[in-house]
Amino acid sequence: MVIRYKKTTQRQKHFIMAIILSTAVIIILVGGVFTSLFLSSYVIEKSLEDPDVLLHLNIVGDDIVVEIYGGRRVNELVLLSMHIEGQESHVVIDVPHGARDVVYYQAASGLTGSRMVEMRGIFSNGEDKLLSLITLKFT
Amino acid sequence: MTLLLIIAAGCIEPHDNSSTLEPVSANHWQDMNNTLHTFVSIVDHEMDNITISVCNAARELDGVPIDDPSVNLTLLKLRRDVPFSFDVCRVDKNNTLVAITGELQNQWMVGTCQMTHQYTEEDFNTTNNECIITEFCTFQSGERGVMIIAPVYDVDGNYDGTLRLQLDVEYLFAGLVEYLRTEYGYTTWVVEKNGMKIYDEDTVEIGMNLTTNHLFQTNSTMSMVSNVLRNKSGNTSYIFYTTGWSDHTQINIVWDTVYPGYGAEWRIIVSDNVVQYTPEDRPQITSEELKNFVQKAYAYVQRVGKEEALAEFNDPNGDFINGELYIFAYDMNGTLLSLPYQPDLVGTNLWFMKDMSGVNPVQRAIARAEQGGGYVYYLYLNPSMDYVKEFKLSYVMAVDNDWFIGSGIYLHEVPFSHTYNLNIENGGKLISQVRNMQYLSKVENISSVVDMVEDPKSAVYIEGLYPFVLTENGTVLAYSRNPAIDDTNQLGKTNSYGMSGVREVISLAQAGGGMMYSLVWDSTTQHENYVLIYVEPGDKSTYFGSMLILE
Repeated sequence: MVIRYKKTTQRQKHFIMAIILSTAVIIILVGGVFTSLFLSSYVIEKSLEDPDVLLHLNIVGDDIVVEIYGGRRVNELVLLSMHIEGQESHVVIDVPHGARDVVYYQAASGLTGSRMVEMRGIFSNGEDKLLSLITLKFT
Repeated sequence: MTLLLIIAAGCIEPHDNSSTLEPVSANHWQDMNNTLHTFVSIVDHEMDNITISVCNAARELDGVPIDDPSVNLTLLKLRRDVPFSFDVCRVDKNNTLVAITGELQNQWMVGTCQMTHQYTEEDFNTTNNECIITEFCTFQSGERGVMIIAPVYDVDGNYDGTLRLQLDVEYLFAGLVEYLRTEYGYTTWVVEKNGMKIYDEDTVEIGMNLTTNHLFQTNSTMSMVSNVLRNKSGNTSYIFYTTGWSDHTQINIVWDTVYPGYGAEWRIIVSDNVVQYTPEDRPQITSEELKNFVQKAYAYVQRVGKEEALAEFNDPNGDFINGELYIFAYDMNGTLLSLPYQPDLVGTNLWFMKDMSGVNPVQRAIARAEQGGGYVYYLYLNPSMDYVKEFKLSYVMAVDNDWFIGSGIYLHEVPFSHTYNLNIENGGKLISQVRNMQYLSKVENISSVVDMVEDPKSAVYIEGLYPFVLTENGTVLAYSRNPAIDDTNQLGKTNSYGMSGVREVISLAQAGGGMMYSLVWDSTTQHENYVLIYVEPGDKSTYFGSMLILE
């Protein structure tokens, strides 16, 4: 029995190496993108599913009422910051200790259609966390 | 509705007890028959008016090219004249949709949509040019009813397609049954000759075929169904469930037949199976207690998650049932997720369910939940009061963007809660007035209609109704009840329950229009009044509405 080996040239070796390297780079890039996407959504979801402060938003006339139902860090909550899609700035409001609800007066004034409303909490240690992200239909 | 659910779950078996039928006095039959004949003549009269309107509109369209602007005006006029219609459309001889009413919806179908009910010239030759009335069906919009179809001819008298009106049979009879109950103490249901129920006070029973549905498979009920379908008129008795489904009773019915158009034969049944409201001294749960109950359920959902919470809400022995108070839950498409008194409805889509005024409770609750939450009104069966209909105030809360929870209290003390009688005439007038504004805005323009709203001598004026015109951003252009608020923005105006009527009206108009209840401040009487509002879009940024005070 005769065993024959096929001889590989230097050029072929370089070509194979190049393919392997490019494939590895692509895999790393794609993996990186997916990982960052996953992590960002995980951070949002985790932030919402494990509420430091449990709250609920609803529109009453021209006001937006934020009802506070507790949560493990509710006593540390000092400020609420609301951002309505399409508006430039966040509106920050003090949260009195033990408050059951906080009213953003006139926050819905003139607003129509559907908009995403983001509510963040600022705690006594300065930490800023997403508490609620919901679409409200103003009309 | 409850009965259906319980039976579907196998909790109730059809119960045969025909041997206990008691003889019925001649006087009782006579009284029922007298009522029936009056009622049938009203139905006949209504259907005659509707088919005549359709035929007249078809004659107006004869010889008019399909792309002529007057076609749309004729369709709008017909829709105005038949308030129990959903939409009106013109279909060419190839059965393709070429024009349809509906300012914001449906227009995408024009020129592309092939009609499922296809007719040719030969079909109308056999009808002697009478309108064809289809069997009960579901339209493309998802609404249900029958279609009234008339042929249209070109300038040479050749067949040129059809004019079609989608009739809301449920709303037509809902108005009539209130009259029947109030005036005579009876109720009604209507069945096609093939056994399909096209009207019942319990809207879930609509669309059920009596010849196949297992509820009607006892000897007593099968005999009744066979009798009704074989004979054009008659009377009989049978044993069936009481309205609350808790017991059996003898039900006596008389029936007659209405022929509303070619191909249609409706048996109109007058029944003495009516739940009578017995006033009881019941403590009224307050709106604050209601809100607290729902907030407690909301916190519970957040703590245990959706699945566990829904299981608890659906548990008849769970912590979230307290007499009249219980938690219901829906997804934002109208599919029921929890209803402890009617567990077999869970999973059913109730988007199109209507109360007797034509208000869609589920759609109104979803609209409120999409604002985060709040109070909403509708008429609903009270399970703790033998399923008698009562005016209900519910509080709903969106859990997230996909679903919401709510609970309601029955407003026993609201004067019209048990004597509610939106007669067919008032309901029809309310719709016709708004549709007339819509029609006139196309004939003239929106500014002309704005001027007409506050003019008691104008073409839109109807005594006892209060029309208004609103913009999409909440500015009142005209309001006949209180012209002082013209040109002011009323988006932020709320009633004592925090409900913004204007936001809700805009939301309803943008969804295509419809009926809603509200509680509005009346500057004339200086107190809040319960009102029924009908609204439709005038164009993409202006909405027409009218209001009927219920007290």
